Amino acid sequence: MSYLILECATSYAVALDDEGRFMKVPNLGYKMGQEVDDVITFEGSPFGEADVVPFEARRARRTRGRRVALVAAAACLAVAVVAGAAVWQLPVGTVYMSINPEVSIEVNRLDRVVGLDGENDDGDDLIEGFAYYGRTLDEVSDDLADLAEDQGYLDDGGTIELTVESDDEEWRTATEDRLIVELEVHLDHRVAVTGAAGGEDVAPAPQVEQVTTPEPPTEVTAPPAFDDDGWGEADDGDDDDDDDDDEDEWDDDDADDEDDD
Amino acid sequence: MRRDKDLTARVRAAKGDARAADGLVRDYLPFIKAETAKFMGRAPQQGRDDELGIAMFAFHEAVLAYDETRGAFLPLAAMSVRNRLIDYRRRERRHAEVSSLDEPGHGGDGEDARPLVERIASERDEISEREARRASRAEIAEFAAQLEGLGVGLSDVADNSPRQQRTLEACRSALAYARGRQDLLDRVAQTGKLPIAELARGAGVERKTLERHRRYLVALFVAYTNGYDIIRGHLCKIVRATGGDAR
Repeated sequence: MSYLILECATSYAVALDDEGRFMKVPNLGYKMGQEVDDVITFEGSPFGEADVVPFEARRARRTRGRRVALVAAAACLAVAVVAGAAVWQLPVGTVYMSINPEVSIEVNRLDRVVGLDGENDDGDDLIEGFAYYGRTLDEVSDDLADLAEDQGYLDDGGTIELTVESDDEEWRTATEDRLIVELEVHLDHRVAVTGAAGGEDVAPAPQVEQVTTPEPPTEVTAPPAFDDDGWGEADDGDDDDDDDDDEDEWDDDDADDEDDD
Repeated sequence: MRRDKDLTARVRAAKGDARAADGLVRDYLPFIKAETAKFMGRAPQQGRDDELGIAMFAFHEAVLAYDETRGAFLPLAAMSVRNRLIDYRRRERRHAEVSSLDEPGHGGDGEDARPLVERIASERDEISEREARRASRAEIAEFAAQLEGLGVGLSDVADNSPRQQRTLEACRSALAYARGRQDLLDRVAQTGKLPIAELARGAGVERKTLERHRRYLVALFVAYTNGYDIIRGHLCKIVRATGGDAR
């Protein structure tokens, strides 16, 4: 098919095909009077089968889309809140702090205190009215030590014993080490803070077997420090004059041994 | 808001007026380029990327098809551009195995790296082609001016041109009848009025078909009056179909 370009505008060109059709086509850089073998023609409306969607329908569709997006966002938020609350509330370990009052502090994954209980009567008295929820473990332990000092449970030279329990061994060790340092520094080293070296869930260090490599047995062929008695007599029963001979014999023996080797 | 109203008014004014729609395309070229870039994934280059030509055409179509009771214009134009670019890409995919003349050669540097169009020997006589095109341009300008004088624009003729083969053949029958009557052709060329009843009767074509494609038939009849040899020469298949001589 051949097309004669009759008119060129910015956005279209009018082409005449050789069967007599005049058609408006995209102007792909044509010039008036040019003959081309091919032009771009499109079938149907540029808006597809549905043509233009009525404005009201579009608004309804948009509203519905927005509602779906809103519900989805709300669901995501709810899931995030529930998951966050679960992570927050779930204790990862418990710190037992024993002065004389003994308290147990439950700590979550974010090192925030989510539970505090007295383990004995003094412990109950100590924590009465004490605000702990959501505070960091370091703050709570410092404040409890101060409180114990104020209430006369803890004097200079006293001892705080810490026991940390957790399934997470790494967290347990790290928390215990950190708390010891924290409390000692906080109390200006006036009080001894001890970790639960004998913590129940601390596995005793396995005894290292000392493996010693056995020395290869050496055949001691050298004679014992010899004296005159016995050997000489047993040997030949001669008198002492034969010492030289005896020595010669030993020498021979040595030589034999060397030969054997 | 005020801008939206201005645009709506301009689109309303340009509806049914291809030149005004073309002016709107020029004014909204940055928008069209942005929509094309969204589709192509890069900025289109004017005069180089066919996609930009397609997008401008789609915007033009959107102006002509716009109905302001159905919402804002620019979303409609954006949809038109996107859909036409999709159509174009599908069409191009069908021709994917055809080598482009502008494609560079695969031979690395030197001779073979030049585009195919530069490597193949041209047997065209460019000088005589240029002359022929100048003559064509002059004839087409005269043809367009004569149609304008009759109140018919070329883009109106294109919009009014039959789409279906059956309608096209009915119009050809009318032309075949008119070509035997030079006075009828001359009358149409002078007045722009189509003797519908006479044509329907003489060519055996439905009156309604002739009425519906009146502007197209006027353009065709004017082309077959004396003086438009190049245009008539181009319509070689019409000549064969109607079995007559072009002159």
